[in-house]
Amino acid sequence: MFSEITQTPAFGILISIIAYSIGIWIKNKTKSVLANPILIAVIIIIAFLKLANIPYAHYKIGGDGIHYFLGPLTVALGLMLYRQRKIIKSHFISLLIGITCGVLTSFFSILLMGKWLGLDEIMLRSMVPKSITTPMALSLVEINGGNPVITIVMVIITGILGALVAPLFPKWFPFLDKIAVGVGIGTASHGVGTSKAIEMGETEGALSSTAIGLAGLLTILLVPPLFVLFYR
Amino acid sequence: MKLINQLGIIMAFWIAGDLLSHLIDGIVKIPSAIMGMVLLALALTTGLIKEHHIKETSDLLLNNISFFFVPASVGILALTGMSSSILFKLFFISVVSTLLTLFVTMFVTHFLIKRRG
Repeated sequence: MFSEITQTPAFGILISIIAYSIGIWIKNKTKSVLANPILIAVIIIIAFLKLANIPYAHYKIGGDGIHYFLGPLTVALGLMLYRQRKIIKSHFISLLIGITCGVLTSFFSILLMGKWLGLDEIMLRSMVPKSITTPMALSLVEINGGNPVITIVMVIITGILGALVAPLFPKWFPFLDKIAVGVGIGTASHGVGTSKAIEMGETEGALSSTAIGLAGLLTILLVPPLFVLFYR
Repeated sequence: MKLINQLGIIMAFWIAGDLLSHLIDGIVKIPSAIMGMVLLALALTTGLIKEHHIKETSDLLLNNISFFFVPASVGILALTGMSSSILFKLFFISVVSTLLTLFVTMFVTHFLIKRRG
């Protein structure tokens, strides 16, 4: 009977909601960037599935129901871009060149280090979207190849890292413009880094949010051709 | 009803994005949902649709963005068979590449903003 219950869509959806709520609760209690709600939810769900001996396939029935919303969610990011139109307009060229340099730095640093450490092509394809927001990163893996699970793990690690080290940059380089700091955080570490940028200041937060969308678009446009040109 | 109607509009942009990305497939590969996102931003900018036509549903999705990644992330179970040396390499690359990207983006943008006034 237990196995019949876990095979309903309600099961996967319900434990996702419970685990995520616990993750949000812990994040709000500790206020630490290390307390990433997705990370906490994933640990709880995996532990529960293992302990109760429930197959992953059962969880996936309900999980897929949630997963399908990534499509409309990605489309809705268009509203976020629209809301940033004033900032984008007034600093268009600076943002475009600055973010493009960041996207290229991310791509070539991953490619060079990955080759040096002997990682295979699938690994490299999975890693190159790591600095952009998860829905866009998954879209990129869809057209450029790679293992989407590795991509998600890399995206989460990158976000947490960005949020941890971002406040150090204005400390080390106090002359840096607030706009530049925000753009850097959004380009390198998407939404998780941006949550830190919002705490640092209004300008940093707004520019970091703007950079997420632009960096994602530029990465999706540039990475597939760059991969063909430079991966041998 | 409002939320459902707004979801309908968002879905329509997704389908339009899918059509368009198939049309230009031979020239440049753009994922359907990303194309939908660009079309939505354009429609809002040109006034073809207004923010209030999609606001509530979009904000519901955007404010809870992390939740929708939970099922895909549970797929990490599949990685448990990976060797710890590969996992260490992945982590090492993430750290160095994230620091480099932060540094380069901040300095290039700073320089450009100062020069252009």
